[in-house]
Amino acid sequence: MEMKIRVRSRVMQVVALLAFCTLVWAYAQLEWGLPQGVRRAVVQVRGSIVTEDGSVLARSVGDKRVYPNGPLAGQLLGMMGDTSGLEGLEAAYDSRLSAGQNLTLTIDPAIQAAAEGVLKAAVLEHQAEYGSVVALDTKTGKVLATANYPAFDPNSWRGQDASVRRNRAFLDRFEPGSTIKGLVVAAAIQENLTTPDSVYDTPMSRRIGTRRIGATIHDAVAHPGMLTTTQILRYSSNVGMSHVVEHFPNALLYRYLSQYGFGQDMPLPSVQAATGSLQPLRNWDDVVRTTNAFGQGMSATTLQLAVAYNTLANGGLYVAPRLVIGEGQPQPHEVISAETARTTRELLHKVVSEGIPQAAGIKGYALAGKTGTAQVVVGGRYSDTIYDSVFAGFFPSDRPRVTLAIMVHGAKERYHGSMLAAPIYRDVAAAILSKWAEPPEQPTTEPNP
Amino acid sequence: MQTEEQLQALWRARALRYVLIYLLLACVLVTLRYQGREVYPNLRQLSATRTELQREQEELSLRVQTLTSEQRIRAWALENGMVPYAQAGKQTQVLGPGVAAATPLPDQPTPTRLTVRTAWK
Repeated sequence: MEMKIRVRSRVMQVVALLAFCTLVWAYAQLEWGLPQGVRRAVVQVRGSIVTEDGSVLARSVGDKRVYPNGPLAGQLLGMMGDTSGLEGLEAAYDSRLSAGQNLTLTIDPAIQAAAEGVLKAAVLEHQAEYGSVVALDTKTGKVLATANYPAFDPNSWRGQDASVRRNRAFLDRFEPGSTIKGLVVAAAIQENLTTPDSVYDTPMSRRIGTRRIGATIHDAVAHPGMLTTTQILRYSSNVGMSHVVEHFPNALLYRYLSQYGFGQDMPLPSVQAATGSLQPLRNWDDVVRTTNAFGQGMSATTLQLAVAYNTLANGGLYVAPRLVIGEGQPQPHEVISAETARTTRELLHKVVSEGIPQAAGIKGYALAGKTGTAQVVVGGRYSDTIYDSVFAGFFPSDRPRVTLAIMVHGAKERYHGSMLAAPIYRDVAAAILSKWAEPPEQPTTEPNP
Repeated sequence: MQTEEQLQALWRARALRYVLIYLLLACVLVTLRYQGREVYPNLRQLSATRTELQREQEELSLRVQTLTSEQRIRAWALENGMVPYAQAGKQTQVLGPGVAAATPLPDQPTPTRLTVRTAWK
């Protein structure tokens, strides 16, 4: 009987304890409101798009995507929809950004802002339709700036025309015109087909090809009847270029243009970039070879032109462009020798210092480059009223650090490359040199005009 | 041997005791909760304040970024007539003799001897 009482007693104590614990548990449930077995949903914050110096180009604040620098690199960044990226880098790297990872770009905000500001002022002044500028770091191929005008602000993209969102620097194809001459002369020097002092008979026009398939090419800038290769570049003589490439094998010139990147896929992972085009080699004859030598009958983007000129700046090495830190980059390949590249840089320096010092030069600094004025094809024919104003170059010319390419389309006033694209190059170069606080190389004794 | 009545009385007493203990513990629990009744509202208020401050901080940092953007600085500089350094007028000048350098102090001989004094307490 005593045992039974003890057991019953113990059972009652346990029951009482359980009842008390149940009370505590129920109270806790009421107090903290935590239903069993339900986890709070974790909301992943979208990654930011930043530059190497830490500037934030795109970030999420709450459920809103904000672009603190407004239209800076707007077309490159693209924009967000309700849940995912719609265009540009927001779309190309949507999965990575959605997983919360940041994207670091090679863009330099100061150079980007300068390029956009200079481009905008020039496009408005010359009443052009649109334009683009690309700046590359010579040694590494990093894209320092990719400016487009009209500008696009991703903060308020709804209602803006699709053409404003277009990253023209990477996508718009155009005939590069006379800017190609610098690259072709380099190839000809490399193949010992010409030297800087080779002299050619250069009337203002010349018939090339056969009687059946031929064309008459003309020069736009008045020049002496005999020109050296150096002067051919300075006067931008198409007739002179026809002599330079007269004995250039078609397949060999085609190969050089391909190695410069023309007609090839742009090796930029994940980012949309147009290819441009070269006429198929089977179509090449004297006319095609000659017209290609001064940049007609082929197309390229502003980015491709910059990367091609970067080959001359970089000792003859083709370096693929880089935009996103951490992405792979193909190995550089040699297109021309370092010696040929150095010779060509000197020729292009003379183009600026002796040909267009006011338009493209800065007193005390060694700049180099080549202008181009390309007629735009409208309805299958070259237009007499619509032109692309183009410039490609690099600086300092003796030890280049930055390569620039500029294209402005449809200017109504002063549309020549030397009047429109060259001053853009000069002013962007001035902004970059000022950012570096680079002292002038030659002492000056009077102020700049 | 206990009778049935005695057993029942015993169990009644025990049941009553356990119920009273249970009620006492429940009262203790409720009393503790009552004493801490301000804690949870304060925590919720602090949490709301923290969220609001974080939102303000993000807005302000965005505003700072926008106000100090490169485009803004460049536009301000151009509006105020500044010229990029590379394009600004520069002149060279030969520097004159300038201010004579101060006479340096005579060299002090480097001490080569270290004297240690030990004071014993």
